[in-house]
Amino acid sequence: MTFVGLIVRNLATRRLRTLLTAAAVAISVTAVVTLGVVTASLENSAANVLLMGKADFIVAQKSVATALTSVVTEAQASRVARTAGVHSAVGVLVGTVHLNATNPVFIEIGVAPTRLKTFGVTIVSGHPYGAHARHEVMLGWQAAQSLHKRVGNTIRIGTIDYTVVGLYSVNQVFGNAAAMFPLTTLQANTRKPGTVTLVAVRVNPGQKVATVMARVDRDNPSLASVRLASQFGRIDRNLVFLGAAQTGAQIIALVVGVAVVLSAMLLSFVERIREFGVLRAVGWSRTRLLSLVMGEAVVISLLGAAAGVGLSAAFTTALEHVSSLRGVLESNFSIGVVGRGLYTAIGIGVLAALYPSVRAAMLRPSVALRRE
Amino acid sequence: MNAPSGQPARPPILEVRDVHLAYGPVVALDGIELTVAEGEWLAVSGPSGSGKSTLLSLVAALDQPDRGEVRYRGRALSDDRHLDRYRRNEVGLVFQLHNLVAHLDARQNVEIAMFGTHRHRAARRAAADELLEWMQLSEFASRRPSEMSGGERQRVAIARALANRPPLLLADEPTGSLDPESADNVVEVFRKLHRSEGTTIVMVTHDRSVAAAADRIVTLERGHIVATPSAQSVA
Repeated sequence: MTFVGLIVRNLATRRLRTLLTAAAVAISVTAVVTLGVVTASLENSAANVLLMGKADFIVAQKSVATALTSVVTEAQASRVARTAGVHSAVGVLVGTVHLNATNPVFIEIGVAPTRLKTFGVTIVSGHPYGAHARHEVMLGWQAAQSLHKRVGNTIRIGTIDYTVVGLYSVNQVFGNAAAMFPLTTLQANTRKPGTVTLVAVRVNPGQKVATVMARVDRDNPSLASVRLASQFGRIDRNLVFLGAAQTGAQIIALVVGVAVVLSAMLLSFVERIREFGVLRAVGWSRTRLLSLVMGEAVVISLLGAAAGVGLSAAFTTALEHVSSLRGVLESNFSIGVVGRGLYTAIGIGVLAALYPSVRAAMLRPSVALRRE
Repeated sequence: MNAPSGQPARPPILEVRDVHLAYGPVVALDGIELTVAEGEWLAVSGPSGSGKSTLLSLVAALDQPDRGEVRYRGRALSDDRHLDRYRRNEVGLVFQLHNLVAHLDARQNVEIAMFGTHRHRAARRAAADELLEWMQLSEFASRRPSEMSGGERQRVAIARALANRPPLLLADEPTGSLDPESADNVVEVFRKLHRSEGTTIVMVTHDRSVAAAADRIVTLERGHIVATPSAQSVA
């Protein structure tokens, strides 16, 4: 019998309590991992929408409720374009519309036809829309496939019928599953004349992106430049709130988990005082006894972590099928998110086992052996 | 076995010097002086509450005296910073109630005493099997305590006490909860250990017939040694 084998046997003896305690850990881990996945997914969705095209970084209004409500005036976009080191700056209007039940959040992109190439759009079929065409649209190739549309077909978006004049491809899936309009047309349809959502910026060859970003930020205090999903909190306040909620949930999950596991471990400690006395009497050191109790807690935590990640996967998969979240929430179990669940579980186990394991280790063998 | 003065002729394995211990107002041991020689079998007798088990727990380093000292092979236990090693390697403990871990089988109960001895799993298992065989308990190796009789459990407990081949075996009323036949078996195991292995045994018992198996008997009353009759005179 190995030491780990003894730990497992001890836990198996109190099977129901072990499972219930692991379930408490699992619930905490589920909360932490699910919120982590949802936050990361929404962050990535926002980043994917905004980082499409061949941009080194994007510029948007600072600290808005959500990234898609950013408003950058064309004057501000022009000032960004004049910043030293900027090679090109393309103003892009991004919005969403309810297309149908299978596409509840359909992305609309407004770009001037003259900036399509600079923005990184490749026409794969047909031709670009006219600069001010009110009823012309281009579909991303994936959107065309899923909507069964070809060049020349008509599509109703919102309350307006458009003719599909071209199909395009960009560098990422969100863009390819969207529709592209002349900038002025989308500005008029969404009642946002003279404004864009973001400015896609490319820097001159040899220029450091970070340097140019710093210049843009300095010259435009109401705007923020970002290039990574993790920086989107500068623009999207909801992501910041979600991140804070995630941290808060993690703390609550940790406290509740520790309380539940601690009570189970304390009950176990009281029941096993005599057993601990025997182990000390046959020569177990304090450290070994401490390791035994701590080890049992860690094994319970790992069981809880595994169950929690599984539950979270089931939960987020279910969330993906909620119609209002379809296309927005794509659960991606990154190593970071799973790792957060794992260290939450181990944190619960170690914190909860600290007191009972120290008490077990500090027991006077003679007193423990007298325990009935 | 004993010198004419009554003191052991062989070098002492254990010396108890002016040991006092009180639990609050209750004096458990009051100035105990005792020497046990290497290879000796000593029985500590006396009525309930006389301090026998307390004396044993001090010798086993399960407790510490308020005053005085216990020396093992010349070294004071109070100077030993690693009493767990002393309990693991130098002494084996047998209790009145077997104190086996209920959810472990006989072999595993013996093995747990070997954790911390740097013996590999296979070596621990082999040593446990060997001890159980010596105790004629091979067929019980995979049984839990609840599946054994009182005498069998006590023999498993003795096997556990011997797991690390300790020079000193301490037994606290080892036959106290056994029927006469099982008690005889346990005494026979002790006799075999004493004769063939030369193990020193300190055995607390209030059973005069069990005490008679020892080389020497000391009697405690109210925390004092009151007499040291020879085992033969008791028998």
